[in-house]
Amino acid sequence: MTRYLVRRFLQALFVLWSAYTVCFAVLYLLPSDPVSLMVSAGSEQSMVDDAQVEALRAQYGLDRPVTVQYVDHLWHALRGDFGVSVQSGRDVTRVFLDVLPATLELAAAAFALALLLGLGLAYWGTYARRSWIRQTLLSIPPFWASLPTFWVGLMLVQLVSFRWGLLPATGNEGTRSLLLPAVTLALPTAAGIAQVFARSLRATETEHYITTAAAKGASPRRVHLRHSARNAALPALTLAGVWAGNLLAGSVVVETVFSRTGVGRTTATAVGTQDIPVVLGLVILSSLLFTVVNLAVDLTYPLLDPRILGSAATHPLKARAR
Amino acid sequence: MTESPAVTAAVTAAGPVTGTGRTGPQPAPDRRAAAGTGSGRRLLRAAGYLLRRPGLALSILLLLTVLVAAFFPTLLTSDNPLRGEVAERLRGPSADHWFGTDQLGRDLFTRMVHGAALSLQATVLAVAVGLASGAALGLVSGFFGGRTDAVIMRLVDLALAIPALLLALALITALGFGTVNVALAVGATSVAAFARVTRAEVLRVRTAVFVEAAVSCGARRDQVLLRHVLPHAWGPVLVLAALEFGTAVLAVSALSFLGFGAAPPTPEWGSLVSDGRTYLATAWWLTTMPGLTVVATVLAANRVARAFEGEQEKGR
Amino acid sequence: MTDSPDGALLAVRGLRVSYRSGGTATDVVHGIDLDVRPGQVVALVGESGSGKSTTAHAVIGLLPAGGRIEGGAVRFAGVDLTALPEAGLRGYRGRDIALVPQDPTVSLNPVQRIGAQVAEVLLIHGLASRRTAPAAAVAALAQAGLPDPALRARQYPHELSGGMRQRALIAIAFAAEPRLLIADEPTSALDVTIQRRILDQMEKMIGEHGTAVLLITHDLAVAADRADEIVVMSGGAVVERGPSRQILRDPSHPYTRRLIADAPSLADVADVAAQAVIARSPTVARSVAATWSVAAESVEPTGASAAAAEAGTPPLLVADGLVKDFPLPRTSGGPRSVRAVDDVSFTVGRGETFALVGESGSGKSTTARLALRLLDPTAGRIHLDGVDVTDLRGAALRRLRRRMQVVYQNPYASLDPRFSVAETIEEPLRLFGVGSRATRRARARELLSQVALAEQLLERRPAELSGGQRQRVAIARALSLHPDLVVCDEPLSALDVTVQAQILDLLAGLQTELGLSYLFITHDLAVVRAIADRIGVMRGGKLVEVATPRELFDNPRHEYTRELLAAIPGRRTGFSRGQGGCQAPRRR
Repeated sequence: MTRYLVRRFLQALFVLWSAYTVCFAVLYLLPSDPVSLMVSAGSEQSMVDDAQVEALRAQYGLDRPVTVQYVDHLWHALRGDFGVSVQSGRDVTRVFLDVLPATLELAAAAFALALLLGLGLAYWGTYARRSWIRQTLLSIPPFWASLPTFWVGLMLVQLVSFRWGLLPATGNEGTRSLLLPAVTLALPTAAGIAQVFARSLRATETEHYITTAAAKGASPRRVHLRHSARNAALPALTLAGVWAGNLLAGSVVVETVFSRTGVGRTTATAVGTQDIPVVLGLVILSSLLFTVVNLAVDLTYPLLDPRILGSAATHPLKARAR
Repeated sequence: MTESPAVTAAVTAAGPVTGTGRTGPQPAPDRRAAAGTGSGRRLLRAAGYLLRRPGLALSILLLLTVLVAAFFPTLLTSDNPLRGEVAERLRGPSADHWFGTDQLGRDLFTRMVHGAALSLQATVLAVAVGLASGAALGLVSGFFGGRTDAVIMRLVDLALAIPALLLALALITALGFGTVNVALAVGATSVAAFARVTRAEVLRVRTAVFVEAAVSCGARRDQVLLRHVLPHAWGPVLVLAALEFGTAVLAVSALSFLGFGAAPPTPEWGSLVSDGRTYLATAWWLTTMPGLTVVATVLAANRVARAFEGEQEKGR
Repeated sequence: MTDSPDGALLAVRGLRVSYRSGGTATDVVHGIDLDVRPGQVVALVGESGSGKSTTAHAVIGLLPAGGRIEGGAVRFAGVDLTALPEAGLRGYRGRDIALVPQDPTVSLNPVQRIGAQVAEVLLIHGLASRRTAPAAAVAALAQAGLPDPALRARQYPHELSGGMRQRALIAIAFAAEPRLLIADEPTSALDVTIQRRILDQMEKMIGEHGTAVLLITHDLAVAADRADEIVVMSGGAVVERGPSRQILRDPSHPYTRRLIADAPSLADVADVAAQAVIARSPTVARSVAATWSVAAESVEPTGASAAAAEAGTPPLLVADGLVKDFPLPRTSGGPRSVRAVDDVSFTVGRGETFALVGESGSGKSTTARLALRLLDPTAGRIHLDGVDVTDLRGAALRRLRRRMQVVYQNPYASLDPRFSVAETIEEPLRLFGVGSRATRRARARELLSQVALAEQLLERRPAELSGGQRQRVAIARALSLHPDLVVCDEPLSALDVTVQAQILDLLAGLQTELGLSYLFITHDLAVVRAIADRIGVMRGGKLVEVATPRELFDNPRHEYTRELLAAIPGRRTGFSRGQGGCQAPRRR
């Protein structure tokens, strides 16, 4: 067990390190560097002469060899220092910490909603008695997945806020303002959860252990809940990291649509002004989120699927595919 | 190093569900070779196939229209997308202006048709970039295996660990704005998925008994790859490309909505929705109609992709 | 036909079942009658697709999706189960009628402890409380012959071997002391030696509880050993029924006769050949006659090839001290590699058939791949025709492939589904640039007639062929380059018994005609008896015994060989060959 934990932890560190490295490479090695971007981005006062540019480059340490910059940045990043925003001059870590609570609130609400909608849709869509109910319910998730998030948000605002005047259209104040953004953010994730869960529920239907359970005289509900759902939940659980990442990414669009402060809106602005340190910080934040969630999944997984420890190297999904 | 369950599952979900790999080719005794191979008969059969699937027929029709709009916009509208009549501004949908007009009196339908050019070209470019580089990586990875495979797959795992939209945003920050850069960024986010699926398919086919049979008959590596592996591996990859089309439409329009696409006043689907936001309370059609077009296009693309996938599965 | 259902525990009358897919319904069971009296074991025997499993599942109302009972009655202790609502039927399942499923490796819930799965049946029917259920489950496991039942109850299915899992399933089935047990091919997924122990265990428990059993099996020999009465099904209908002995001694239906003749462990070589002649077209009768003579010759204990070897002709293939290690995925403290083949030496003479027999995991298929040079040995040498071929690479290795060809176990997987029959057979010729298009096509036609397939099949794809036809195509491909040695890797195990006999026959005929040498890999001792000159028995990567069939069957030296022989079903009733199987019908 300890070995398993240590291995998973080391893997998580490896993923973080490589994510940082790849992003550093993309952002710093491409022809544009932060200073030239900054100079060209602020188009009005772009009357900067070469000497000033050089001075700026020196100020940001961009005149040093790339490897030195990399090691230097990595060393700082390890201590939680991701540099300074080129636009605002503020500490990147500070920038994110300020807006993180608002986004976490939104993401948590959206995730709860997505889980409820997704699992419910899949379960009733698979086991409803009448076939037309099943078909209707199961056709919903692919439809949701085809909707552009920004448009769903705008439609909700148009109907719920402007036409019916029920909820505020924008802002960060209170639960009422959280509802519409949370629904908007939840839909794609709910669609994903529903599709994966429904698929694995359907896959268990032809499993022989389901026949064994039915042959014991178990009721359909017992078979569905104790045997099918229990096994089908595992593949869905392993995707939690992906969904957490998608919620963070979705916040870029949702927070822009609803004019909420948060990590997403900060990111959208940073991309708009090509503020490289902030964007790099966000990528690290998202891979940190992905890694932490995955680590949590990996650690709880052995409790739910006994096979994972028994056959140390065999992955449950792979084992099943054999 | 073993993969963590979460990462692997992420990857499994990223690919299309082809439900293969378990047993390999299955007997299908009821499938007979076509009795007649005349092209007329084939056409008739295709028509019959579509008639039994009106949703699919409608989807194909819609996609064709959108593609015509993208490449020959003047066939659908003769108006200028940039010129408006101020007297006609903010009119709702009518027989004259199917999608209504905007605050400058420009016809929204015309702007959508011309917007299709940039949006769809970006989509096609994105899918092409993803398909070409992803398939190449996957092929190399799956066929040669060993260290090459390990390195490529590590990178793929990594790319899949970062949400597509964030990866695209990071690339746009580095590349700069504009339709082509948006397309490249969106394409780059799908490389990992294509590489995964291609590799999995190549591995599946490479370990098939009939491939070993070919080796034991004396086939060389290249002969095995070309005659036995490729023809069996490319189906699911093309299915993924079809599915990726819808995803790319969504991603391109989202980035355009955020303002990273073409500079105004050039119309794009995403930026049209964004422009309409100001008039959300008064002119509903400015956001609703472009959005509905995107939704219809994505649904149609996914319907076609699913039909393609179904046929693919039947054919094995 | 039994007319009086009096005293019958289970009485099936005129049962009709159909499967619906894509709007069309196909009848798979056409009105069958069946009686099982208390304490009686009735075997339902038939080939795959005969409707036997469907019948069994219909009895407890557990048909797979799309299946539907169209008519008839299933009376259990006087109650018609087909007329009961689903909830009413549930009261019977597990309580009065229990099921032992087909494949133990997939029939237990992977994420639930064994004990909980046994206890579940007791809890569902209120036969135990939450507090007493765990102990009752352990008791049930003990009764099913599981060692350390208390430990097993706390384990998960993946921690148990296949045999132990089947015992756990038997424990589940017997937990509520049902009156009727439906055993659906309960051992066909297990190795033969385990198969016998499991069947013995079931028999013991049936005896103790007086349970009636409906045993579903494709294996007439298993039925002969275990059942009081045999019901033979074919094409969804019952073709014959009667007491086991009577069915085997004096089968009245031609289909039953064919089943008996084709079951390798039941029939004589003579019968196989004789039956084949009947089923064959006159054009091939010639080659079959040749087979017959070969088979008759090989009965001589000293194989022709052994004599030849002594006479100084060098053997075709010499494998010397072959070792193969496979690397293991890294685990905590475990071994780095596993030895699949451990110091295996053997020879295959010209025109000889050398058989490697062993259970799954014995290393026999790996040995075949080493001999074919599809895998590189960790140690040891391979000589073909006196030349060391162990280190051949590139072009030289390709040239070697011309001389050694392989016929795989599963003809559904070994043919490229995109290639037509002609393309498949011509591929080796094309790869080696033999002849022109026209001469290659002519060769394909010639090969097709050699394997007794019609020329019209040339343009067909594998999907349009039956399993037997595909295996013939695979054989034709293997022969196209005139190889000296053909490796047959379980070439029969994916085929139905009647087809097995035909293919075996074809292989024997081709050997005489073309002077081929065979390396024959199989798990089935009975099959090799009919074809092999010498048999090597493998276990755990080691070759434990090499002998002629007669020596091996009459006087096995190694203990494991004896165990394998004892496990061949059909021996108990004395229908097996070698124990005066002459009771089986002789048509000549």
